[in-house]
Amino acid sequence: MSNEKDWSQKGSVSMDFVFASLLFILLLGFTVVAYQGYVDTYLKDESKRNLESNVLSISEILVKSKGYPSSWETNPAGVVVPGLASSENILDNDKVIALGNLSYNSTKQLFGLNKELFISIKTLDGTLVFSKGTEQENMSSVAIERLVYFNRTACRLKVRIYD
Amino acid sequence: MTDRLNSSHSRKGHAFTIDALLGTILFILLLSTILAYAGPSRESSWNIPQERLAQDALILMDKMGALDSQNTTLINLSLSQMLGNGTKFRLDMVTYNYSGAAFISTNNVLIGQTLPSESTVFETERAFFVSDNSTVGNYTIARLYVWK
Repeated sequence: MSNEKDWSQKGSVSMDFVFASLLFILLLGFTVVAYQGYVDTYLKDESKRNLESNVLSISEILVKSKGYPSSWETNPAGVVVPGLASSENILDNDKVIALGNLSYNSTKQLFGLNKELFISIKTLDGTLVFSKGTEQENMSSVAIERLVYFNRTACRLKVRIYD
Repeated sequence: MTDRLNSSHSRKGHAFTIDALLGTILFILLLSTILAYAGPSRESSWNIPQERLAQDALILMDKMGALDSQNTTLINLSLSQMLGNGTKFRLDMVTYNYSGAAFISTNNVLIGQTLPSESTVFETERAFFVSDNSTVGNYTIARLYVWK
């Protein structure tokens, strides 16, 4: 008789085991969801920071550097770094024209980009005097605006990279 | 006797489960706290455009001769146009003259608004000098503060 009772108890699952299992599953699920959310946010932030770094580097090259070779505008086919400056924040007219004559894809390659790029120079009252690339609508982007002296007037040079 | 054993076993099961429950709650709280503070900063860190704009403005005004002129109306207008409507600024220019023994502060020009106490303010400075017959007559340090 006592054996019959033992057999019936061994066949059953205790409530605390079920409860502990449920708790474990809940905990595992929470950890997975929280970790995934963290990784997604981190990856998005990293992508944005890369864009910000690129847009700043490109603007520094354009605004501060004469480029390499320093007189690349006389032989645009041999350009390695398409800087536009004759001196700090003063743009050389010939270099700007030479950049305009480079193909869009060559310009992107020179800056090491595989994303869409838009460069513009406008006077302080908003008149467009130079542009490279096309402004894209409905695409997220990062931009930086720099002040330069071009064609004897203060202008805004804007660099925008699309994600 | 079997009944007594059964009831003592059932009490032990409940105590274990409560421990597990408390442990789970504590773990979830700890994990949430770590993820909240260890994750990427939600605050925008893209302040560099403001800094660069301020530096560029000071460089341009120096190269265009506006700083040399110390003309407050011209400088105020130039900065307003270059920085745009949304940006507030303050420019401090301190000029030092060489007395023969040392450089002494002789002139202090303040242009723009009072520095705010609650906004993030970006500061940049530029020094430029006036020479006379290859001798430095005086030099000026211009400090530009910008904020939104």
